[in-house]
Amino acid sequence: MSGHGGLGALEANPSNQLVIETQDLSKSFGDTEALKTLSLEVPKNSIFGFLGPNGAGKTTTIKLLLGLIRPTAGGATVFGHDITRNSIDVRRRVGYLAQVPSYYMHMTARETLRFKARFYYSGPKNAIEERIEETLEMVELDDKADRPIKGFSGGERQRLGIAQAQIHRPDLLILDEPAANLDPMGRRDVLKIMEDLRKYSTVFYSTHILDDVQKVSDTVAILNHGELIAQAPINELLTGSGGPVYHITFKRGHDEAHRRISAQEWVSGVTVVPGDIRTTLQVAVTDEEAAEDELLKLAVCDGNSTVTEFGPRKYELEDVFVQIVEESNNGQ
Amino acid sequence: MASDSEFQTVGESGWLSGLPNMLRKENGKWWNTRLWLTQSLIWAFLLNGLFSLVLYLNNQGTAQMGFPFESVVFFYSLMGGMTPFGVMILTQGAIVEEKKSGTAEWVLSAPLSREAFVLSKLVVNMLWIFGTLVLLQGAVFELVLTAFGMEIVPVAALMKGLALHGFHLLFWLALSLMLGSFFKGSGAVMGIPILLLAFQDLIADLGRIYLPGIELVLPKRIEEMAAQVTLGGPVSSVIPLFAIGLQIVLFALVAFWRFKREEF
Repeated sequence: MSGHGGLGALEANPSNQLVIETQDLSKSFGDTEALKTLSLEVPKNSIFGFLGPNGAGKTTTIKLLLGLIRPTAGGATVFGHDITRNSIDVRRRVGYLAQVPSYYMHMTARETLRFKARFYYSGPKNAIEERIEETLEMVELDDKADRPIKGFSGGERQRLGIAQAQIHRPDLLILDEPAANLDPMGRRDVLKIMEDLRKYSTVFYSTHILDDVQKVSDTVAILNHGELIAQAPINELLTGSGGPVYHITFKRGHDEAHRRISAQEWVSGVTVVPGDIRTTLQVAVTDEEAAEDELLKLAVCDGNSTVTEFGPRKYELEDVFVQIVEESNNGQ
Repeated sequence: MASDSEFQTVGESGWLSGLPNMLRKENGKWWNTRLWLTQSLIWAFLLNGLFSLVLYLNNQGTAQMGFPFESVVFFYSLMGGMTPFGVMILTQGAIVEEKKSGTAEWVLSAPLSREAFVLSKLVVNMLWIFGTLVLLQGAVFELVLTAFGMEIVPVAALMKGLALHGFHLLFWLALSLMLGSFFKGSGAVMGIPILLLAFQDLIADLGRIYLPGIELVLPKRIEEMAAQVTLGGPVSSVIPLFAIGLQIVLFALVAFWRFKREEF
């Protein structure tokens, strides 16, 4: 993780490209340390996935940022505003969707959005109503706008949650498990909305659905037992930490290719992964350019080898997540 | 598409942040759900219905009720005995239910101060309770007297008495909100005021022995004064007024202080 110049420096610099910056942020509930010295940086205009197993401290972090709970130690700024001293200034620029969204059940969806909008806008009335209408259409609740919320399904309540969170077009959207209780179609819709919102907002969201993170996030942080154990752009995380590795899958003739490839200076190791029909060579390299230019040629140059797949090895986020969390658990 | 430049942003800051919107929302809870109507009817039935029944029995010769003393005292005893329960029932969930359901967390994630959250409940409930449980019932009381061919109470005197009764109910409202800011369930929020209401006489009696003067600071004194004033009498002592006023302010301040420390 990159270092930073302290919260004072961030507050003094309005052009800072970090939207959220926490420094040793900690929270205890009695004897339980829910969050331990979290130092996190969320860049502007990112879709930032905040991952971790249940009880890792994700919701605690979000509530601290919104001033719903107070830190035990450390501090944080959002848009340069201190989360404790200037919480209302923070909340003016933030939209929030709770893990289990709650509303006033006597209100309709339209009334709920009108109520929320009035925390930010005093008028004009027609512009507010127009914004409400656009937002209802965006989350496809326009046909249910005037029905009481108590009759809404889980997915409809979640969509209303997203609508109310961004009714004022916030600079930062904080979503706590936005797709947790949705079916696959609902999840797809929510991810699409998140991608659309990126045009004008930074999206900071917590989740444990790794597939979603891989689809939409550009930066991720992984939290475990209240501690930050990784923060990186998602591509960096998926490439792995042991240097570039390429995989070559052979239908036949891998032995000769193995010998030729191992002899190259820029190859630091070759692992053979035998399969029922095909065999894969995993080639660790020190020079990616040489590998991309030469590796495939070396594999097929004798004319006896048949290659069916070639490319840089990509990890699934789930593999990376499990590996990092297990390492963290073993280290404790 | 409505662009951001079209909008006028809200002007409040500090503890006033979000107050107008919360006042509107709390008012909507009374107006839009017709709570005002159901409360008006319930209390008209309970207070003036019972009062009418006694007047009716009086006319039949089975009860003795004259004007002004007995009817006014009886009406105020009904109000003093019943309406504090109404306040407790109406406001026991005002803060607790919002904490339990998650709506407090939701609204406080918007630019709303915690003081504004509590204050909106105090102000709006006070106004509607005064309107439906006090003022309207006073008007119906006059109508009932007219219907039974009795002389009505002078409006100015009745208004003074009702104002004192409203002040008395404000004590229970502030107490209920303060307890709501401390507790997570409605049991204590309802139970503590009920105990206080039920044991006021006992506390006053014990006070005469062990702590003289305590009866002057109990809310029942205001209720007794309300009947006296309605009958054209003077305010016998300002001490209960100051004492109850001080307690109301104290309850409100403690509610602000405690709610500001609440974690969601």
